[in-house]
Amino acid sequence: MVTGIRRWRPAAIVAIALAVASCATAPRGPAGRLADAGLDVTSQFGSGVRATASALDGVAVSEAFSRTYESCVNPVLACPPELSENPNGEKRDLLIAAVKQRAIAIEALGDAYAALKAEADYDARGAMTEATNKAIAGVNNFASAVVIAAGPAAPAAALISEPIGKLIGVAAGAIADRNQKKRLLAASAAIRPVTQRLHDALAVEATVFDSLQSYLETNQTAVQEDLLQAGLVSHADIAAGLANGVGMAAVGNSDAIAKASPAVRAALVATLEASAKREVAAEQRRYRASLAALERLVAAHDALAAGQPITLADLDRLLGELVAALPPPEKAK
Amino acid sequence: MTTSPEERLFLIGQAYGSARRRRAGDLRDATSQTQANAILGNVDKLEAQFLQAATAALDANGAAVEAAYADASAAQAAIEAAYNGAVAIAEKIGLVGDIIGKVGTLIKVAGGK
Repeated sequence: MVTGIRRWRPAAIVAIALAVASCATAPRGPAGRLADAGLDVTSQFGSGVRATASALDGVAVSEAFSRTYESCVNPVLACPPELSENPNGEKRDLLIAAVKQRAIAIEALGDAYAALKAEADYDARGAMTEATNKAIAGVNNFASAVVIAAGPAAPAAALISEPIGKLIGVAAGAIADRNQKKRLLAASAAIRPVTQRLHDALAVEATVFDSLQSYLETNQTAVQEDLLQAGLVSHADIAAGLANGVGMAAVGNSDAIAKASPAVRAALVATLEASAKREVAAEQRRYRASLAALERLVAAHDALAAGQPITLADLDRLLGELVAALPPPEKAK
Repeated sequence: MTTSPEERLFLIGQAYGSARRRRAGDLRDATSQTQANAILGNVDKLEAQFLQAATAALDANGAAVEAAYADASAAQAAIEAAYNGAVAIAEKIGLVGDIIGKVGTLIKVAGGK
């Protein structure tokens, strides 16, 4: 975990950045690269979190099918079932709202990086303070929700419990300075604690995110098995994916073969479950890689402030991992 | 040894996950509407407990928390053993129903209540 000046107020950090600015070389190029990296990280991370919220939202629909089919397939039971509705919709909605709050915070930080990029690339003044303040508000909201959920006694709660102050007065003035170098350093210094705070809050939530992925996997696999059992989807797709993975092509009548053979059906369902577990593990790796990428961003902000070269090779590697772990387009949730 | 909030959440998720995965088979084996309602109700309650645990702190410590964790773990182990053996559906339903109370206690004491 990155340590250092996470508890400092943006105004103090901006003041230090301005002091350094007088002797630093023009940071336009490095600041632009940093902003690009920030945009990439927040975009990848945000899309993953949105996908989780969307998948949670879909559970209610798939559950309606599953509980009805699973009851109606037994002729002894009432159809539709007596307990025809899952009573947990409200609890699930609360969870979806909590997940969306993460996405809002991540995307607000992305907007701040976009404003930094505009500053660096086009010398465009104006949007930086507003974008940074929105990012601060988004991250503060998310962090306070995390503290409520994790409990004030949680080991990491102290890192994120005090809200970050918004940019006003000197700090906001520095971002509007006529000197672009000063503005870029001030903007970078203002974004840095927001990135750090987002990292810390998301790190506290990593275990919850892991368990949510398992929850989604359980529900997804159960409804897939019900759809297969009902004959509404073909076993051929699973057979094709499996055969393709070992460099072969499935036969054209693989669905008919599966329907006639309990052994083949059982084996294909086992494949489905193993595949779902792999997806869960991939999502969990993605979350960790996103956290690591946020840490690298904080380090890049520090390098920019110190006038040191920014090395983003590590970050590029992490971004590569994020993209590699994304599901193929046709399977995107 | 003290269990972590992560281990507690994992156990609660495991209790729900295993019941949900087995629900289709249990409903196929049900011999009465009463059994079917119990199967659906058990899974719904375990899901509610998981959703509650996912947005709650489970970070209190102490002997009561460890005892609750051990009880819930033992209940989950009994469920696994029943499903791996030749146990009648009525007994399976009872075992899944048992763990709901134990998970509820774990959430309560680990949540500091």
